[in-house]
Amino acid sequence: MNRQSILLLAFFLAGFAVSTVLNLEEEVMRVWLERTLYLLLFVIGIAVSDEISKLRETHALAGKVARLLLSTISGSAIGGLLSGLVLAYSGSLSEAGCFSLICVVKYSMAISLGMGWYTFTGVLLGTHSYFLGFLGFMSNLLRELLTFTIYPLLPKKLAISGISMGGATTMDTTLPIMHKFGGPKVSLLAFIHGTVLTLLIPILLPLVVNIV
Amino acid sequence: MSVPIYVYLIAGLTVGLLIRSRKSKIKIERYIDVGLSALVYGLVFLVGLNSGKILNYTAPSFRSITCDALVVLEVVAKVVLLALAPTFTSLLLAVVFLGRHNE
Repeated sequence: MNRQSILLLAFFLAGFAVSTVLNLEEEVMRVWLERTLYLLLFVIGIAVSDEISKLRETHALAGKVARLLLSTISGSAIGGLLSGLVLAYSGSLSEAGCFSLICVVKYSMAISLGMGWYTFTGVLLGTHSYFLGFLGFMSNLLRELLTFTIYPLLPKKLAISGISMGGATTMDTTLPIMHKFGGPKVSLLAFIHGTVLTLLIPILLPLVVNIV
Repeated sequence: MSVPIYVYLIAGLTVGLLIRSRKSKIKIERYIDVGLSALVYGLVFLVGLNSGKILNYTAPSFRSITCDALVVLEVVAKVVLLALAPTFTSLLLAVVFLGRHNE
């Protein structure tokens, strides 16, 4: 676990602890979460605008990036679908007022399609139910931690495929791991992969949540 | 949410591209880094604050340290399942799709 992950976890736990003392209304929390999320997306847009020029210079890697993106998105969707089926079979997401198979599958797919972007997934799903927000945040944070610990253990010949595990985090937090254990070519692929996913997730996730 | 959420992302992209297209380049990277870090930590705190309500469900008597371990375990199992399944399915599909393109 790196320093940043520990700090993030500390902030999360601090919020968790404060919540047990303060009894904030759900509606107030929802408004705060929404406004902060809009601000985050706006700032992310400004930050990513600098990288667009770099994306133009990487035509040669387009095939590999496309394959990687396809596997990350479809893998996350299938993983979410399978988890949804398991959850529906073993007791559903009743804590979130979700009892039907379709509802459980929809939300587990939404959590999985967060693809490691825990702040966005946690906040977006938190506006639907605090329990879903918690699951979305923790599952995606765990995906990042899994990438940190498992990527260095993968055989060298899976260095490019391994990028898929990190999802959107390959643009920033897990990029140093990819660079260290995969080399410069892998880190360039990882960066493009993460950037494109960061642009796609705000479109994909609300689409899945509002589909039914 | 009346306005689609990605509109804010597009607005940020447009503003970013406009700023960067100026000849007198404003050094915005430092401000963005600081702002982004503050926002991320703030959001994580807010998510924690919102998630704290989970205690009402998982353990009504959590504060008296007599929480129902089975209920907590069930929530942990859900978190682990929802993290493991997409991570490894993505990896598996990447191995299949990329095949020999891994080199």
